Amino acid sequence: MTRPLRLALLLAPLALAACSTSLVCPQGQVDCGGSCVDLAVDAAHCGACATSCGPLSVCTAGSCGCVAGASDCAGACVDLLTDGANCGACGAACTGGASFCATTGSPATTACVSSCPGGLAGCGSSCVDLLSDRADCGACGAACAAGQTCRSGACVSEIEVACYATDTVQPVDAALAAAGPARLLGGSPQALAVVDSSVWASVSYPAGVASIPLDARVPSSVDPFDLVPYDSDVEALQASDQLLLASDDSAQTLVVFDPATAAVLDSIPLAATPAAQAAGLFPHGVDVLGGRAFVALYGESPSSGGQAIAVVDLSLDACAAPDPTAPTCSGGGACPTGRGCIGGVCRIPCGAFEKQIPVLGVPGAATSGALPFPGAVKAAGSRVYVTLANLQLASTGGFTGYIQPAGSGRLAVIDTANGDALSILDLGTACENPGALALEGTTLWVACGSFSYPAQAPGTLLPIDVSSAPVIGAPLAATSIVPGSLAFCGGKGYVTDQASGAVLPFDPLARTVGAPVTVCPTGTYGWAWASDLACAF
Amino acid sequence: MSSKLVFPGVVALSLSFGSPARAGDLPEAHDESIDVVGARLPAPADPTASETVVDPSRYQGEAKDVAALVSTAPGVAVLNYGGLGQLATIQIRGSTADDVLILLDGLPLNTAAGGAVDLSTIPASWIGRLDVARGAEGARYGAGALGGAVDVITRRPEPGTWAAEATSGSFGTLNGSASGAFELGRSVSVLAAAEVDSTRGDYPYLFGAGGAPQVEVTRANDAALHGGGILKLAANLGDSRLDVLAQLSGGRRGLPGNEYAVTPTDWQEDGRALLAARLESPGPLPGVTLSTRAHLRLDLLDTFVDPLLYRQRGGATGLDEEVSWAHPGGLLTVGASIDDELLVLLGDGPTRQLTSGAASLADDLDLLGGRLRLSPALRAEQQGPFGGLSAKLGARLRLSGGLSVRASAGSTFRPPSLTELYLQQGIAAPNPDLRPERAESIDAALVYEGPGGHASAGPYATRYHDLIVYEPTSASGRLEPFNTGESIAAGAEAELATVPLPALLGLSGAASYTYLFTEDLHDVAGVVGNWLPERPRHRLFARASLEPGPVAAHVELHWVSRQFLDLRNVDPIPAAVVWNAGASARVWRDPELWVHLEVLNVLDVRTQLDPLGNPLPGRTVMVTLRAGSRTEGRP
Repeated sequence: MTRPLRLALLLAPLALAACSTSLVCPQGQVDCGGSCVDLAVDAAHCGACATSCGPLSVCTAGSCGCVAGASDCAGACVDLLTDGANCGACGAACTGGASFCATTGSPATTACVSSCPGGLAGCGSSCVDLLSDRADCGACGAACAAGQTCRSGACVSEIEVACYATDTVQPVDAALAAAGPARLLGGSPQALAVVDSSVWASVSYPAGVASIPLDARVPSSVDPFDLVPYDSDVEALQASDQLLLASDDSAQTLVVFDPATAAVLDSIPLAATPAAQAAGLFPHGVDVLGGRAFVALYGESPSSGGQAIAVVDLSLDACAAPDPTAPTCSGGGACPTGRGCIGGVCRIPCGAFEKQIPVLGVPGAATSGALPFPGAVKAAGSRVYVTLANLQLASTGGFTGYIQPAGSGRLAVIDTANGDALSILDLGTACENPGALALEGTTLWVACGSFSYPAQAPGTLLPIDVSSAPVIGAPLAATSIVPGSLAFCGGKGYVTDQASGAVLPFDPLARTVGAPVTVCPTGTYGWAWASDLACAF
Repeated sequence: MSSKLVFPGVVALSLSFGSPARAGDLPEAHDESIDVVGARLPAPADPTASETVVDPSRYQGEAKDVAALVSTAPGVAVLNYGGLGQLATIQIRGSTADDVLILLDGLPLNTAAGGAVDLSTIPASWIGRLDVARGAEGARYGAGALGGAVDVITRRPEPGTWAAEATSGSFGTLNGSASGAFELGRSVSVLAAAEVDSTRGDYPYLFGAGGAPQVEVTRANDAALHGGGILKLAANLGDSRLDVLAQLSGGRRGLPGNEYAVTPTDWQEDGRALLAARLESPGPLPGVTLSTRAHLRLDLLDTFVDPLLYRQRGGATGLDEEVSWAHPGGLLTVGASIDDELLVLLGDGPTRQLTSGAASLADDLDLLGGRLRLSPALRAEQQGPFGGLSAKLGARLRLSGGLSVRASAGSTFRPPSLTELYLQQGIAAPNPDLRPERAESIDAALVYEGPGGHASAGPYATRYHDLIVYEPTSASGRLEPFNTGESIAAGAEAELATVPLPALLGLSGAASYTYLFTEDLHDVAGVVGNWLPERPRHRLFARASLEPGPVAAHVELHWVSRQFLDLRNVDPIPAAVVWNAGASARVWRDPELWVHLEVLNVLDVRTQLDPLGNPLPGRTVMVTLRAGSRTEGRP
């Protein structure tokens, strides 16, 4: 509380007596020193605030236990392969001249040694590989949390899941178990992208992008960087050449963001004229092919703009190059020819609007009376694939809009090798309301299903072989969820649930689906949503 | 334009103790005024309260709407959602706009549907004065006044007076109004007034998407047409007095949408009919006065948001009884009221009914030989299933040398609206488990009134509990209200009206300043402890006028410090300084004919944003021709 307020409240004792802040936490979490934590699984607050588990331990159901691979020696979790006090067995201490415990050779043998072999560092009485040892990752004593692995000296998870209702990103391992505590963002995360050692999230309420280091031991940046003056609404993030492309649903532009400098480099219009730009394009998915960005313009209604795919000619190398002599400008101010005023700096443009490829009115893009809403974009080979939600006007739960599937979903196929020729692929009745796209090898997977009409359009995962002309495969049933975002990490498939905080694993080779795993906790207001996921490496 | 333009509009606290204010008064109740350095100024309804009286006659010909008039008072923040004719609401002392009661001659315009009252639907030419009361004023005005209340008092019938005004201005703005008052027989006075306002609203703004130089584009679908008429009747019936008010207003506006997603076909239509009558007569005992008031209000609100048409209809009727006793130590007032309100969304659900009842007790005590005034008030209220108490205690102690000290404390509540409880509106779902919002306030001020003018300054604090906040509740973007909001607003307010050099071309000045600290006390991490959005720390209004004779000129400053659009305090709205200026000249003496030139936003500031982040108009020029009966005392 600031000094002016205290002064004012000297004459307002009633108000002063009642003035104290309290933190609102998601369901199942409590306020521990200004942070919301789950006492059941938080290793730093296991069972009670500030009750931390030791190294190589994990908090389960409010009690500390040893992580897989660690042993319990007299109540402490130790690695028998490296621990000098428990070298090979509990109580087998390394003493005298052989004070280090090392595991070497093949087959591996564990023994006390006088000095650590080459490539291993001595941490206390242990010989460890700082690049891969979970208890000493990157430095002696720098332990990774349960579920994390030590890669190149950094503690990382397998997958990062955006939890919209709790304003967090939850790292998980390949089995979708928590890999460390959830990381708090400055808003509700909607889309994720990994660039270098950070996961970037577009957040809303308010909107912008925020970064979280993949290594959970590094503090987060919780202040979102603004993309536009007011409440941007980033529907999709796409990493390209170490830059981030963000489709800004509010400003109706393609924003180019430099994670290295946390600067917006450009905000590229997606229409030829200001009037067309302001018509309500609502850009969604984006992907890059051949130096051109393809942006799905979702639109809103027959009278809005959108329902097209915008094409932007990118020049990312030019705009991302260091430019210390760039002149400054005020908002909308004049800049030298060839530069645009972005964030008070006259920057070299990162691209230019080329054209829109309309899908509205294209035969086969939607059934009669419905509209085709472009959603996700994925480039493969020389083609760009865009899902078209085939939706009709309907009312449900007091809400009216283009929300009800009107029939089979469609896929727009743009052949860049053939002058951006557009063709429409009917995905069949097994895929109504197609959403996310992800590519595994030469198979394009489509997440299908309707949030508002799950009985009419149940969840499915549809594989399409795109090695040549697209060939639709047999759908996988995913009726336990409403499929949302898709990703393939380490050869395994994962799809989020639009209706809960669950993630559904599936095997793209065996074409089998696992059971959904709840990753995102229920928020303060009784709901959860795993809004996106991204592979951590 | 008054020829005695001594105090331009903002009137601070009075030293003369008038009759206590009563919610529900028809216009003639506020008939007190005070003499200060030669000017007749209306007195606040409750001199123990933190209250400012805005006198619109000081701004005649200046093309000021109700929102602009109210913005001259301290503690008030006007939220303009676009240009002329578009939605305009107010916040007081950091409250939400929903937590401010707006009354027309004491009759609440806030409906059972909830939400803030749109000030743009009240024609400015009808207004005789605006009473702006700050703090938890439920004991005086009724439940809902958490931040404060604004009572719009229509002009009184003054037989033989008339006025007509025509304005043309930027962006296709055309306004016309006419009024006249006359006598029917010896005992009946009648005021009839009508006003029509229209604008194309096609102001230019800078479109900022992309790195290319910003281009100037024109706001589309921003036209507004609004009009209305009012008829007031005051009749002396022996020892009794009858006041009747009939009002009809309505209009249509385009809804232009976000600058990045324009909505060329959306629109809104509103309508309101109001009929009220009050009979005041002597009671059976000396010093006792009986007052009975009945009213009927009908509301219409149609909103087309492509492709949906929402048609809302409402109606309210009520009966108030009040007994006042002028006892030796002051004035005791006991009141009771019952109201019934209907609300229906045509074609979407049943008609909702809200029955309310209230009982109030207030006293107005003169102590210490008139140096100390105490005003306790208590009001018990039941609105549908929700009941509560509102209380208020005000005091004012007259010191020496024109100084006095005023302090008050109050508490009140706002029951959830029918919309918040039961109505699904687009993505906003209802929540039948809501509780009433509550607020407690406290303030004090040192008041000076003397030869140099008058001034007041003092601190205040209001604690808001259980505020109803819409939160997302599903991945599809649905919202639902919860009683999760807790906040505090505290700071200081000051106002000044002075005639430092009356002999120098009629120079006068006025100013109001607000320091507002707000803090979100109960929220998620990253938000708790932050400023509330759209609550700037500093707000200043200042005005200087010259009126040497049949010509006059003025200049105004509105300064608002930096604020945030969002709860997370990462989307700032930069500080804004806006200058207005105007001049007028009388070109005919009897009847008076004035020509006014008013320039709003003289420096053409283009960085002003509405609460949705959309651009507001730049420089606006208005020319007004005003004719009227000659004013007494004019040169």
